[in-house]
Amino acid sequence: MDSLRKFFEDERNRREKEAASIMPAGDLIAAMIRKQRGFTYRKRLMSRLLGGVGFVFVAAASIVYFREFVAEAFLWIENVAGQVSGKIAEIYANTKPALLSWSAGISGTAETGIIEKATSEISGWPVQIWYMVFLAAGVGLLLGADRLIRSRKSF
Amino acid sequence: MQDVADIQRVLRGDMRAYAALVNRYQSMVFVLVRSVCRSTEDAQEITQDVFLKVYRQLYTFKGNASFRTWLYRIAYNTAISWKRKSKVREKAEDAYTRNEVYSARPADEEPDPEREEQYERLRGLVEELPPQEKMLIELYYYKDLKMEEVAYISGMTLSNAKVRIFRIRQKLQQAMTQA
Repeated sequence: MDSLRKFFEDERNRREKEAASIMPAGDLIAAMIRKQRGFTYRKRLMSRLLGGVGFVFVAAASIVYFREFVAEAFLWIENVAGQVSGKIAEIYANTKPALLSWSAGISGTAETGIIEKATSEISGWPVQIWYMVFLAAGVGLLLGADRLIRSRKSF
Repeated sequence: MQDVADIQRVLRGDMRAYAALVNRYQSMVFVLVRSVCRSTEDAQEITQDVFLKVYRQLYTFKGNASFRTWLYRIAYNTAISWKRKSKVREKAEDAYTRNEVYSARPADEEPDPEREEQYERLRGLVEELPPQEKMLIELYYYKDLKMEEVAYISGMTLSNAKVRIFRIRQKLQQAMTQA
């Protein structure tokens, strides 16, 4: 077994001598990385710009083309949101006085609370506002996912 | 400690710190990678690849193992996958490169025909090993590396690495005695 160890040691020594003759590549690799990063940055910037412009165009075109369907969809969303917020307000209105009377014996009117105001306000929003809200949320979601994926990949 | 400080500087965007890190470990990676390559040029190329990968993955280095061991692991995986990809190409070049690569004996050494013959036989046997086994035995005979580190680098459990290395050594020994 000693011959095996000796063999590997000799081989390694031989390769170490070979490695000693190689020029330090630190600066070269650093330059390659810098170049690669610059390229990646430009590519990412371009794809984001193009993607953003494309998205806006597609969104605008689809609104024009499917305006009736979009209007119906947002009316439906508005109704659902109104119903849900109405339900929340109802639950809150029922729960709040019960909780207050149970905890400290203080009575309060549900109609003056901030939740009620907010829900009645939201349920009254027109279709256009809902569209803007969902568009902003969609874009935000896409940008967030994009950032997350890219930060995982690094460079 | 120097490594940790340099890594932190690299993560803050200091490329000079990365160049210093590369220069410090370049030979070490080259020597390991060279064991699976037929030519110096290939080994240099893989070494370069290893350091590009290391830069990309540096943010994942948590310091659980030493930087050297972590670097070895990346070098090991890169070399193995390179070897797999280039297997077909190497077969075609086999006859040409075998003599060229391994004929180098340091000029200052006295020629020893018996040892040369034994080494030639061993080289042939090691060459026959699958890349993973070849790297494993190389790591095992590498100075300063503990068995735990060998296991970590090769992505095996400690007992698995021990068994594999024992079998490889046995295989080489048997082949040597049969020859």
